[in-house]
Amino acid sequence: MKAKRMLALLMVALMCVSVFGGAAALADEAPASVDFEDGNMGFVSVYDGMANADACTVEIADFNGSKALQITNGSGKVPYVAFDVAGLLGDKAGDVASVDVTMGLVNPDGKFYACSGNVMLWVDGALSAEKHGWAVYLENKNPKSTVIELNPDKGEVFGEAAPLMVVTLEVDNGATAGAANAVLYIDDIRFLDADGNVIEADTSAAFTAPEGFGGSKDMSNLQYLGADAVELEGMAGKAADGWAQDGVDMTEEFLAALVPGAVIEIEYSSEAGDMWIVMPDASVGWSRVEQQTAATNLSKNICQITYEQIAAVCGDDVSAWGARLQCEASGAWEVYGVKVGQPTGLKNLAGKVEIPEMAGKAADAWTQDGVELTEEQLALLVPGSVIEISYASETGDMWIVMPDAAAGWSRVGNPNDGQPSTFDGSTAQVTYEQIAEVCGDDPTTWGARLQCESSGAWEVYGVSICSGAFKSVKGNVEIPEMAGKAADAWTQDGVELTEEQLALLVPGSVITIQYASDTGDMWIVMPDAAAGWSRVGDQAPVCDGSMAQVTYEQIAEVCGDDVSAWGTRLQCESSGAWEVFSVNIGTAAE
Amino acid sequence: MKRFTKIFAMVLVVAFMFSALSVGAFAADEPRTITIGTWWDIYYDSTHTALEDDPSYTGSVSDQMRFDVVKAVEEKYNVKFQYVNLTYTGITDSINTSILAGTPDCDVYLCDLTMGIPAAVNGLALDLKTVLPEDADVLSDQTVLNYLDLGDGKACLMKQVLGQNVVEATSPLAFNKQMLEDNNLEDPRDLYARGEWTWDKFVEYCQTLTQDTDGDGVIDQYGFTGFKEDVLSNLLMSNGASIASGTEEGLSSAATGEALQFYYDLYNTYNVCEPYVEQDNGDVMRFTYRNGNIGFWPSAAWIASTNADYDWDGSVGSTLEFDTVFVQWPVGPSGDQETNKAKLTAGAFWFIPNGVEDPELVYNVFEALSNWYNDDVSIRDDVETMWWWYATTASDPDLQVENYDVMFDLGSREQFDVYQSLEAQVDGWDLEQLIFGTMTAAQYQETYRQQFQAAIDSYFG
Repeated sequence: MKAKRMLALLMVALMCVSVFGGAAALADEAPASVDFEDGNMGFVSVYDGMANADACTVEIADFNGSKALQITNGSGKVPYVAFDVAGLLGDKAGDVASVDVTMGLVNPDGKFYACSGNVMLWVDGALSAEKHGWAVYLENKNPKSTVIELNPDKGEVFGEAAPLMVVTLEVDNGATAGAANAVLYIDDIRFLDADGNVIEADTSAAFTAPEGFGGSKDMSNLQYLGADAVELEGMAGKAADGWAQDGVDMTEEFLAALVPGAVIEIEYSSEAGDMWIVMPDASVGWSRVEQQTAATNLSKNICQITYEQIAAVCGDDVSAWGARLQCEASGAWEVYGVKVGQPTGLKNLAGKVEIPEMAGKAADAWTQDGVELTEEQLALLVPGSVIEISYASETGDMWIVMPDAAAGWSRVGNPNDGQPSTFDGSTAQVTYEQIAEVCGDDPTTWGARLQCESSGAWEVYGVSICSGAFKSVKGNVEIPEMAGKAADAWTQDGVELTEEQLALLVPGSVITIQYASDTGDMWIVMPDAAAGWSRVGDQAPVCDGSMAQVTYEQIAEVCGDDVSAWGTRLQCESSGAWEVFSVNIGTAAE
Repeated sequence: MKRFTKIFAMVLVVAFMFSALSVGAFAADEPRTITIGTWWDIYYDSTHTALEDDPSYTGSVSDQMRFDVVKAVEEKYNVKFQYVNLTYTGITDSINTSILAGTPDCDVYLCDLTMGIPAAVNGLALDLKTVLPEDADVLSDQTVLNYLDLGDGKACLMKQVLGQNVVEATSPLAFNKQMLEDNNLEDPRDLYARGEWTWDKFVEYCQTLTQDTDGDGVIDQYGFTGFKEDVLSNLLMSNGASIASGTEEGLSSAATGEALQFYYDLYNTYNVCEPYVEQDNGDVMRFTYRNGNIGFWPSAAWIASTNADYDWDGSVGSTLEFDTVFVQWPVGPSGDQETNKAKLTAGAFWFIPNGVEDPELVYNVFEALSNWYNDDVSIRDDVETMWWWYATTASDPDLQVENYDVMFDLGSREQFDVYQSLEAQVDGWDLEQLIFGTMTAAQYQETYRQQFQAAIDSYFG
């Protein structure tokens, strides 16, 4: 009798397990490391360092009878949401063997559409290539628990080197079908050790951004467009194989912005790194524009094509270009966004030196505030230098005032006075030459005080004096053997250039180096030059701590005009321990 | 309390029964809903009410027939059916969890080989031979559906028979028509037709074509070139060999050894190949034939279209001054023209999972849906749909047809071999070691065979 009772109990238990989802259901009964019921989410941050990253909104909201982390898509791109696991778990972070996380979906139209994405770790300053897929794909299994098994052999060990877990939502069937983007809910995160025990988390932890996390868009070689640039609806998510085109009809708003001087900017990924546009219905015939020659950043994920480049192929009459705009690349590609706008004129600047006393200065409209520059700071104002201001203002504009100039109290870069000005609402740049135009060629007569001003109430977050602007470069060809070269301070390493690579060194060409160095500087060495072992670019390096440029003309100045006398070896060097990530040779676009 | 426990147990039992029958449960007179899991949207199904529900609807006859077949299938089999886009990750998850649990989410799954092979090998996919009569189309005529033969005697992974499915991913041997004519070489297609197109004859042709045409003492015209991955797969198939077509590696087989040796000899013994660009990932060696100084090369419709060789869309005009002609690959010493395979299996497949209620009904519905063209192949493979496959490889209309026929012939003889998918797991694997003569064929086999076996073991689970 007792045996029968035991058998019945066993059956009931088995049925319970079956009905409610087996072992996973039992695990679900265990308390979660993070259940969001306390309202804490300070350990969460949105990552926007990828070309396809969405500026999504993250907040705590009610979902499925409890609190959960709600992720609302902002622009139709891919949300990347990072969790500071090292902060949450502290010393226990390294014990995590697997993560059980519950995902749920709600679509604004009330229907269910399957979605999927990935879970990755942030390892050694970048997103790991190891991806763990998640999917919520059936309405009757929404929300759904996903278990991520970490692979320590691939560096998936939470801790100092891998502090973050990043969740993405990459495939949204609703958005593909023309519905709104799904709202993703993340709940009941269980960090489990090797024995399956839930590791307790301190949800009061604040997100600590690791190095490289706050990376902004790579705008090398590109022009900065104004905030009023017009997005081309329907282009985000277009994808095709190499040499295949896809696109949409241009909207009226987009066409209205496609005027002389305008720039079309495409955020993309492509296997071959290139991207261009096709105007299939142009009256001059099916037309490729800037095939494999479009201005592209070094990351090869943003390119720009100008109105004038299209006009050169399709003629000056926009109405004859056809309504359809397509993208194409020589390898499989995907586009994350296309917009058109006028360039602001802002440049990528090198050699920034902060003026720390300027940060936090603020005033009302048409009111100035600033600091007295030190002699060292004043010495930075040389031809080619640029003052860069990071700011906010009610009216969007920003300029400088030199109140003690011998030429008199002077505004410089004020658009309201018809002066040339360069700003985009958050960054303003004023060149040495603009100041000289107003205050005279002798900087010793400019006075020592530097002030900021705007036509609306304003606040300055930072002011730098920069040694110069990076050149925009087209047709970059990488020297792959240079990637990974590294050495100690004042030590050189490099490669022997091939004939093809040497042939790239022509007047107007630019060597661009992506690097890291303890001291932030970087230049090149031509050890076999007929003029003797030569450093080039070391006196006034055009670099910003991650990118450096050396021009053909700089080399010629040191090694002479005859390239054949430069020797074939190219080396890098820095005043601190250094590592090079890439070296490209291209041609200045200006 | 006791009574409550009993009631609770009964409720659980009932709940369990409902749960267990969640896929197959339907009242006898209610139409059953067949669920087909996919990772892209497919039209039409029982949820669609108008032709325009398909965003790509063009008003063609085939659109109408694909729409009409829904009603016909519903009435004939008393079913409703729907395609459910689970996403790629979702379909993988569903296969690995719901089928394993005995309650498959779907009655039919779309899959690629990465999902399909483990599903078939590990018993998640139904062996159709266990439930269908011998005269079912997929097991007999294969006019609507065929299946992937994994060599285990089972029929698990179905493929819809379509003209495009046949010709896609074929890699014929191409030759420069004018160059062969200029050298008084007989058309290789005639040799193939007579069963005389062999590796030996191929070498003879390549030797003739490898020349110093301007008399400066430097060879500037070559018999053969090609991207390494394209070449090896075809040499293997032309010699009846494969490397990862089952649970035992074939790298160490004698036939594979002959193919590797032949590859080595083309570069290092016969010296009939264009110098190879080191570490090319396909961007260079696939396209040097366009220089006009190459006799033979592995081609494909997409390769010809990449640079608009023959102006397939009329946008740029023909960009080659010579004609490209497709021919079957020559037959190796261990090969057999009648039985050689000629195209690596790829693409999408379908399977019915184990645990599905009445799988014969599910198959019948799926076959009927797949035969939306009502056995009229001219509608299934209509000219408009297939036009690109003809126009992209040649300018001459006759040659377009001849090239298409070669692609179709190659595509009709599929070889299941996943070795290319496994190469990344084999440390050091690089065919340039053969091309540059740094490793002999025998060394190559011995160096990598164990790693390949380990990769195969992992792949087949």
